[in-house]
Amino acid sequence: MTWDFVLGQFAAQFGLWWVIVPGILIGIVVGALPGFSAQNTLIMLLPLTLAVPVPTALAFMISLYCATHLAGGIPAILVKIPGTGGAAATTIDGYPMTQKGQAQQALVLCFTASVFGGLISTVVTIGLLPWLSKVGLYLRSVEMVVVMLFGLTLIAVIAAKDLLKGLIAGFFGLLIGVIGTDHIYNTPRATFGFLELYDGVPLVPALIGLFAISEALVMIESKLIVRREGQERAAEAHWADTVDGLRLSVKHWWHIVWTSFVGLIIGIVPGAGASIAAFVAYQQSRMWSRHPELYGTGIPEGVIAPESANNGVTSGTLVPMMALGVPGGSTAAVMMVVLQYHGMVMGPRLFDTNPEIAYGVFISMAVAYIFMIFTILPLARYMSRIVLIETTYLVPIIVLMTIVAAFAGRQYQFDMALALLFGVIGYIAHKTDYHVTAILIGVILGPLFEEYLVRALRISEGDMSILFSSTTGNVLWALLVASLALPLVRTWLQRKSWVGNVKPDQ
Amino acid sequence: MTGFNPNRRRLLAGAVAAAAIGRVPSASAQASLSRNMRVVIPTGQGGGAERLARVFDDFWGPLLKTKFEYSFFPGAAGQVGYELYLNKREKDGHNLLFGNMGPEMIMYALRKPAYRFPQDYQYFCRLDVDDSVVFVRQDSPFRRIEDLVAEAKKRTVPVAVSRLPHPASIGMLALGRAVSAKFNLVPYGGGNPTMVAVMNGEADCGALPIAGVAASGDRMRVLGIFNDEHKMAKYSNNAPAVNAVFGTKIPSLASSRSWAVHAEVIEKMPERMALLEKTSKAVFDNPAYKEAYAKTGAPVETIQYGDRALCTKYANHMVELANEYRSLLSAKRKG
Amino acid sequence: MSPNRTPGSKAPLGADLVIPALALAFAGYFFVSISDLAWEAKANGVLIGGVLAALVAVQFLRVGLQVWVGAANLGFERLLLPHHALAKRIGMVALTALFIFSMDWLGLTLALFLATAAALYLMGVRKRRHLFWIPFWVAVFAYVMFIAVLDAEFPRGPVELLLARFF
Repeated sequence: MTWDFVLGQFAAQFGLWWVIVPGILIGIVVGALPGFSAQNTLIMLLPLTLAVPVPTALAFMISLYCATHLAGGIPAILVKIPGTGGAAATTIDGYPMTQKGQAQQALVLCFTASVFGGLISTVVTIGLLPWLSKVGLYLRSVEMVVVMLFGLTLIAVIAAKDLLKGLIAGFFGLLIGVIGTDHIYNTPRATFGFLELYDGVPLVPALIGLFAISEALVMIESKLIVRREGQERAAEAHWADTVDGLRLSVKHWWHIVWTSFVGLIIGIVPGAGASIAAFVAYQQSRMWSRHPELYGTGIPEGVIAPESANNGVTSGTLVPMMALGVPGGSTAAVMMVVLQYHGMVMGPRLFDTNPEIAYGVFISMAVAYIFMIFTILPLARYMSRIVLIETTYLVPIIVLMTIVAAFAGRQYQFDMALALLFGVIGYIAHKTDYHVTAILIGVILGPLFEEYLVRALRISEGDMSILFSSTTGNVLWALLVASLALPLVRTWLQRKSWVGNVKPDQ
Repeated sequence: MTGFNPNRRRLLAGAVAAAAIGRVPSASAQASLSRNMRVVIPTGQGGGAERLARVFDDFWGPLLKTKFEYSFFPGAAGQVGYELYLNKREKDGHNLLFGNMGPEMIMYALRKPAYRFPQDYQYFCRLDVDDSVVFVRQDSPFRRIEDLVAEAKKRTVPVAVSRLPHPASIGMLALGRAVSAKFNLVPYGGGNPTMVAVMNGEADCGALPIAGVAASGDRMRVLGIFNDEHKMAKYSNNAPAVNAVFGTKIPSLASSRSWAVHAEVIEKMPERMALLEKTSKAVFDNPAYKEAYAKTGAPVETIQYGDRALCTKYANHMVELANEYRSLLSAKRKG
Repeated sequence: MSPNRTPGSKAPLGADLVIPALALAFAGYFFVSISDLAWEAKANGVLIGGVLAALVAVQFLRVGLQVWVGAANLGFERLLLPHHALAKRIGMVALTALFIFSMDWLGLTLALFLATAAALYLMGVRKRRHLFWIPFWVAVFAYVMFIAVLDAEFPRGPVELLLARFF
């Protein structure tokens, strides 16, 4: 791969602006609506993408896909409704920023972290593709058990104020996540006899219920989403707030860079996806922070980490598809159908036979991100105004429209009732301080954790020592222990230095 | 997950009117299709089933003068897709199921769902016969199937499989039983992740239908085939038939994808059924179909048409096999 | 602790037991549903359910002790307060349930129009223009998005059938 080739590809991709821009706009709408995903939109548009030349189809699909990852954060920040599972972690700090009257800054942070996180990971992928494609081969079931534990420890972090309640919420979510058929024999468990639960608890109704509906039921108590002290600031919504958001992004540039790598690496593992990447990035961000106690109160790093990571996933998820012929996620699977339909055989040979496709996919992604920042950034100011709508109007629309959206993912009326049930559970949890985010982390990560754990144990025929049998896995275990111990050590050191600084006469 | 159906709305009024009148379409109406075909695929997106179905409908659609729309319901080894197809799709010949008969009939035998075969649905057009193979990665120390079996006599060898209720899985169980070797089947939920498990060394070997393994290029090496006829020799570097190596009598184990339809359509709409059967069979006479199929990287030799009788025979054979290995394939430990 | 509690009064902790009680009941059902399965199918559930049951027991003990020493009672005020929002909240849940079930007969568009209008009224909106036009545009959006564009499999009612004749 020469520079001439790369530059030529960039020029060719810029020439496809006429499909990239519509792809971005559709992706933003689809990503911001809970219940819709890049995958089901691309399925709907499959006849179109099968009919056009491969580079055009890929440019369109990739721009739409990346835009959905960015847009999922918009409702997460504004009304605490994550548009996609990958944006669930964004609510933890994004929504408190909105409540403080900083919706515009939060949106700008979300956009810049998403775009630059996606762009950085894409450029890295282009440069290191042959090596990155091997990462998936080092992360096997055992290693993935530890990666899942990185995400699951976030439950304890969130539950810091009342550990017992937080753990009850997290384990309740984990047990809900185990509903459905088991991973070895496909036998249904705890499905209450509902066929709709054989596949496990669907993510979209859980997201909608635990976040949107429960929050709307709480919202009824107040006139506006924004707290009194932030109302004036939210009402003014100057361009200066957009500039302030950009300033915060520049200030935290390193945060964007490293959390995008978290997304890239997790994205490379087939089946892992944006949700786990966002939760792990948030957990790591908090663990290594000098002020972990501020997380959850509405700080920029809490928005940057999940957003940068869930866009870092976008390039990662395409790596196994291009390099191994294995789709990294459901959207990649749709793209693979299009490529195979046109006779492209995925795998290492693709880089020799069709380098313009193999590398073009990632260059197309980079170009899409460049277009995206110019398309979306000016909209932050106008989007932030939604928080000024009175809850009298907002609550009915949120509850009813999200209930309708709960249907969209699988087209089961059952999912609407399930969303309402989760809404009531979420409301009770919210009012009694059992964190809904902890429940959701359990629901999302529970099935993945079980899948990897049971598979590892099946391989070892039940011998638990397999969990410590690989070098990569043991390194990850050490990192996990280190990241859990770090805050404790830091607190101990701070206490020690404080005691040391207190003179006897003081 | 399901796809949306962009063109169905226009014809809704007609469908509702027909339902309201409550009668079967006349013979002349049966002989043509009035709207898009809606297909339930009981496996995940991007897999072999979708690839095969889409290539086929490119040639079948023009003969039926209609288009195909797909929905994917991979849950519970395919049971979700079948239940949904049989309980929630209109029995009008416009709704089809595209299934992998082998694994899904094994699932049917093991799970004993509420629906019945062949009373509720029937397969009517087999597309392929995809022989099960045992394979390793190219740089594996196991050069021949004898090496693998010898190892499995010393220790339990993990075998990556797509799912337990699958002909390839039964092949490994049958081999283990016949030669007193210990194979530990580990399901990965699909052909692609199964191959990754073999590639990254998590499992020593894998057992899958040959088409996917052949499409993966030269990263995998086939050690043995569960079919004595051995039609796909050139795609397996002339790997031997398992029975030929060990003198066993393991039945031929292949996956076969087929179109299925509600049994009520066969019974009450014979004209429409005849149209579906005649046109689907005609696709196999089109050389362009085989060319398009080959473009996906799968061996053309796997294309083998089978009619309703052949499909039913195969499906019943799978039920018998599943019952034979029930104790090893089911999670139920009591009753 | 409830912000509405006056100094010296007992903390109403009954509401704190709702989630643990639900979790415990679900764990019990889970154990029953996996009792006759192979270890691979139940290992994770037993592990998680076991820890959950232990955590719930500790929470029950914690609340029980506080009630025992007279620092708390088993009141549910935390779920019910503030009173002015209670009727709206219960009404909103009931209305949503009614919307889901009525959709089978009314179809998406009409059911959504009526439910939105009723929900706005419930929330205190009394302007007739708002009570008509907001639900109208919500229903139009849902029809265009879900029925016309995406052709999702929502139940069809009189509005959808009528419009299908024209489009």
